[in-house]
Parts: sequence; structure tokens; C-alpha cells
Amino acid sequence: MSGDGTQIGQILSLPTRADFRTLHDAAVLTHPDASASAIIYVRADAAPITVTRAQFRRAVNQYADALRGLNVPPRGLVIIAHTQNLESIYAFWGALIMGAIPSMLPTLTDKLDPDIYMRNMAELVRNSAAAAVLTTDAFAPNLRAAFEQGGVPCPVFGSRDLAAAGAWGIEVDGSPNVQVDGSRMGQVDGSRNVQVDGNPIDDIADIPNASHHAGATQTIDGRSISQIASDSISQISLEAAPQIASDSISQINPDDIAFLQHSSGTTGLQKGVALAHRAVLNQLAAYADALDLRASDSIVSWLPLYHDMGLIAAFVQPLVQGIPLILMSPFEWVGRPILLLRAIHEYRPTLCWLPNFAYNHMAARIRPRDSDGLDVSSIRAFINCSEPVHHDSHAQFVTRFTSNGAHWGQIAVSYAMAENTFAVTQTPIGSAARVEWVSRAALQADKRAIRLREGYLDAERHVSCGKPIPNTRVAVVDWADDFVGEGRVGELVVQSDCMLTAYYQRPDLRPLERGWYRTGDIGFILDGDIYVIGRSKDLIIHAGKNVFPQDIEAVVNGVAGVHPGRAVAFGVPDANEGTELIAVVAETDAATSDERKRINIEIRKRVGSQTDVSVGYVELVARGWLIKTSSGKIARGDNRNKWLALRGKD
Amino acid sequence: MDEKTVRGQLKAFIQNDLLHDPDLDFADDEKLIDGSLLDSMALVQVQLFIEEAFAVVIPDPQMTVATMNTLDQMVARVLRG
Repeated sequence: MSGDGTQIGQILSLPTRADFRTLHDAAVLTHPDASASAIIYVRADAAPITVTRAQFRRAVNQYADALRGLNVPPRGLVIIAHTQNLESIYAFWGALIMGAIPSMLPTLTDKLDPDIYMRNMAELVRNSAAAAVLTTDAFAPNLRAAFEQGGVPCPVFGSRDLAAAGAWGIEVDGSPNVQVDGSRMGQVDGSRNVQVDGNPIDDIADIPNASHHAGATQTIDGRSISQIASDSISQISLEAAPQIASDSISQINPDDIAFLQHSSGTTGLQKGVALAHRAVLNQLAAYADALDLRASDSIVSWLPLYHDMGLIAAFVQPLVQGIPLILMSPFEWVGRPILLLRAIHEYRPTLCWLPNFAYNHMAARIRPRDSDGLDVSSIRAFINCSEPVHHDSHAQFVTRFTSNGAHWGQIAVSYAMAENTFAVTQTPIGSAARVEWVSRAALQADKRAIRLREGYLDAERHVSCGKPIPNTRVAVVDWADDFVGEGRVGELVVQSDCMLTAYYQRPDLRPLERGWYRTGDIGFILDGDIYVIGRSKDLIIHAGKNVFPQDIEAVVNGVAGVHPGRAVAFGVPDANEGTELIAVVAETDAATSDERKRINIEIRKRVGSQTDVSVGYVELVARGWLIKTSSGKIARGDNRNKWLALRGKD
Repeated sequence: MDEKTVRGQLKAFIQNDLLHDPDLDFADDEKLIDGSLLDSMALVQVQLFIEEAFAVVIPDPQMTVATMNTLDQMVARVLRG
């Protein structure tokens, strides 16, 4: 930390904010206790890997050197399209400390069409003038070829290229590497594909210098994380933990862009939310206050790092704050949700961020025999974030895991968005998020939130997202863009000191209007608490992922047998899944059942392989079924209502 | 357990609970997971359904896309017990 006379190693909070100049002051890079755990990487079928701060520093320095050796320019955009593993983490911080601008993007999955993935990547790289793409050895040649074909002058580096440039002499060529089958990655990241030829894919994460810690898979009740960490670093010399070169630090200014968070979208026109060092540090300081964050906290996460919740709350935050991060692969967690509870039981973390569907997924799909005896009482808060929050999901989770130490006091909510770095609001930690019953009719007809007593026929339950974090303001504007007061429904707008600088390389887009960011979310404020009740945009949020209906419709319109331009996609809330399922209604003349079946399956397959989300419902209708607006456009909302009525779901 | 019953029950489960369309008659060798008809959460659901309906416990590491991609593969795995 660069401040004078301040206590080294304290949490970044509002009182200590001035001690942090850029993200190079992150505790993981500067804290004098280099032997503490930075990351414990938990794996489904292999021993966890513990990375100390010393090991982390050495690794990121090596990655920074490798990137310099590969002539990646300082301030260049470095796209990291990797399997989630330690390598992608080191690459991110290596790029950050050498002054480049890293950005995490999803990797190719089994389901996605590789050609479409690569075309989208090429477009994104071209539009954002990226300086380099880092990916797996298996995928690098294919991506390189795609870039050459598309005339995109951007180098692609695999793990071996970095190892060669960084000359860290690790066994990249050893068993960890993933096999390639033809043009796509073998089994990388398929939901349940933990192993390739008997080798866990994430073994690739072993590099460089992380030590295996086989013993930590056993139950270690009563042992602190620092104890666990000190076991695993016995063979590491602390002299081997270089400090970050001071010349690179001095060249970075607080208002320089630190990294990008990319919005979702499949068109290659994803927006890169550019965040300055200052904004990220402001967010973390304010959020620490809202969370009452302490040096004794630790964070557990299965979240992907290409999403703001995973990237900020469960990656940048613990590393900057110097609190341990217990991390696992999202693909492994989806297939085995018990992994999260096991990790909580073993490592006793205190904070966990989850999208709403995760509460349902764990409550419904973890077998009692697997969870028996596991203890989750160390958690101060399970923070629900990134999709509409449902009280029922919380109730299912708490009820299901009461005997494991889950309780309502752990149930917290945050309203967050990449444009505000992350959190906009947070409910108080230590007590259940507030729930209000309001009149449905008044919300819809009068645009007012009127409290009702529970059980009234017209009463609708909404879970509070809490109050704005310090230095962030939330207001509500009505349809005429006038600010309205408490209890009035309108679009939520946000103002803060942790807002994005710009959308990267998109001078045509202005993120702020009159100093406010328009969220596109509809909500109200009651007693200072923010409630989100819908969206003004047609965005679908499926399993924590933002999905644009336009992208789905474009795919459906290309299916033979569907009338081009006569398809609509929308989200349908599903109480079992705790998220929105995607419904497609398409007009067709096909009359035979064979032909209709073919179209139905084709729609599902194409949408899945081109957008990486699965369609929940396909409805084929006769020509003229879809409602159009007066200007001839397909009206999503009206058709959604018509379909819900047809299916008896309204 | 005869094959026909297993096949019928598994197919009905996939149609009703995963594809939300009881009339959608997909082929028994249709690649459900990497063919993009189902998402990554579907395999866990299939695994739990097989446990409940047929009392066959399939260990987690065996629930892979490569081994449980089609209805044929799922049926064969259930019949192995």
C-alpha cells in the first residue's frame, strides 16, 4: 500500500480508501504475510490446490513477463478465453500488473457450435482492437486459423506459448493438457466432463508452482485456513516471492482502465464495460462497509469469472482484500452441486454469492445422503444476486439445509450490475432480507407500491434488495423521465463513484444520461429499500445469464420451415427452477407431425449450439397467430401473454 | 426391469420434465446434451430420476456427456444396474 504511516495489511474500506492507489495495491500482491492462502482451488475428482500469496505473486510475475516477451503492449486489451482454472487467473493478474487491460470471456463449450463461437470471437476482437487472446493449447490453433481467415490481426497464445515466453519451465506438455478431437476442444467444459483420459481438465491449473495439498480433502474441523495454508507452503521459499516491479506500478494511474467486464450477447457486439482502477477500488471500499467485511472473512464460489458477480465479488474482491478465496469450476458445480456445501464444510468460509436458480438447484438436487453431516453454519451470508430474487427459492434452501446449519439470518440480497463495477445495493448482513407484500393491482395499474397484509388475495410478495451501498445513489424515474418518490414504480437509475468509464471502443454509446445510468430495471423504493420487480427491456435472465431475445429470434428465423421474421422469444418464470425458462413461438405452414417435430428439434438444437442456452418451450403456430404492433413489429409482451394463456400459465 | 419400461419411463421424463413437451418424439439415438436439446443441469436431473425410478445409483464421475448423451445410452446404463 502506498500511503504513509498507515497500517499495512488492513481491509480496503472507506476509512482506508486513500491507502490504495490502484489495483496493484491489492493485498494479494503487497501484504507482508506472503505465506497466507490466496486461493484454494477445489476440484471434483482431484486434490484441492492451495496457492499462497507468495506463489500467486511469483506466478503473476511470470505471466506478466511472458506477456511482455510476447510483445503484448502495455494498455493493450488481453482477452482471456479459457477454461476456468488457475492459469486464467494468473493470466488476468499478469496482464493487469504489466499494465495491459485483461478481460475474461467464456470458453467454448460442448454445446456451442465452434464455428459460430470463433466467428463471434473474431468479431469481438476486431471491434475492440484486442492485442492478444489467451486460450488453451487445444483451442489456440483453431482460433488462430479463424482469425487468419477472417483477417483479424490479433495473436492467439496457448499455454505453451506463454510458458515458452515466460521460460518458467513447467510441465505444460505433461498430462494436464486437454486432447483435441478434430476442430473443437474434446470435452472441455461439458457439464459433467470432469475427466479427459483420466486426467482432470483443471490439472492444467497446476502451473506454475502451485502445490498440491492432498490432505485437505479430509475433514479438517477446527482448523483455520491459515493453518491449512501453512502446511502447503512448507517447501516454498519466501525469497521466491518477488514484489511487483515498481516501474510498472508508477506508470499506471488510478483513472486508467483496469479491466473490462463483457456483457452477454451472441452477436459479437458485446459491450466491454471499462472500469478504472479508481472505480473498482471505490466499489470494494464501499462494499466492504455494506458487508461489514473483516480480515477473518473468506469467500467460497463456483461462479464463472466472465460474469460481474464471479469476477468482482468472488475474485477481485478477495484478492484485493487479502481474504482467502475457495474457488471451483462452474461446470463441476452444476453437475455436482454438493461440491459447494462440501467446500463450506471443509474450509469454513463466511460469504457466498449465488444467483437465484442456485438455491433451487441445490435444494432440489442434492441428495440427503450426500449432505448429511455437512455444516454450513460458518456462512455469514448467502447473497442472492444477478437474477430476479424469489422468496420461495430462499425458503426451499433454508428448509432443505436447516439440519446443516442453514438459517434465515444468512439470507441476503444484492442488486448489482457490471456498469456499477458490481453492487448497487446490499441487504444488512446477519438478518434475513426484508419481504414486503404489496398490491399487485396497484403496482400494475397505478404504478404504486401499496403495502398489504400477507394473505390478501391481491397481495404479491417482493424481496428487498437492500439499501444502496455507500457513495451509490438509486432513484426512480417515471415514463416521462421525471424523478418520482418512495412507493412509486418506475425505472431504476444509478449514480455512483464506481461507475464504468465507458463502453470500450464504443464512443457511439453514452452510458450516462444527465449523470445517471439507466438500468432498464423496473422497481420501487420503500423505506429506503430497493425492490426490483421487472425490466423495461425484453432481456431474459436464464440461470443467472443475460439472454437477448433478439439473438434467439435471429437463430429461429434461420430454421427451415419457420416463416422468417415470424418468431418470438421471451422468458417464462419457472418456480421449480427458480429462474426464467426460454420460450419460443414460431409461425410455420408445416402440417405433418414429422415436419413439425423436425422444426421443433431444429429450433432447440440451433439455439443451443449458437447461444449456449437451452430452449424450455417451443410452440409452433399457424401463420397469423403472432400479434404485431401497429408498426408491424412482433410484440413480445403481447405474444408472451397470449402464449401463457394458451398454455394455462397466466 | 425390462428395457421397454425403462425406455418408456426415461423418455416420458425427458419429454415432460426437461423438454416440457410430451408430444416431442425425439429419436432414441438423438444427441440430447451435446446436440444442445438439453442444458447442463439436465444430467443431474436424469441421474436423480434414474435413482428414484429404477433404484440404480450412477456415480457422479460416470455422468458424462460422452456416456449419457442419448436415450439409448441412458437405457443401457440403467439396465447394467
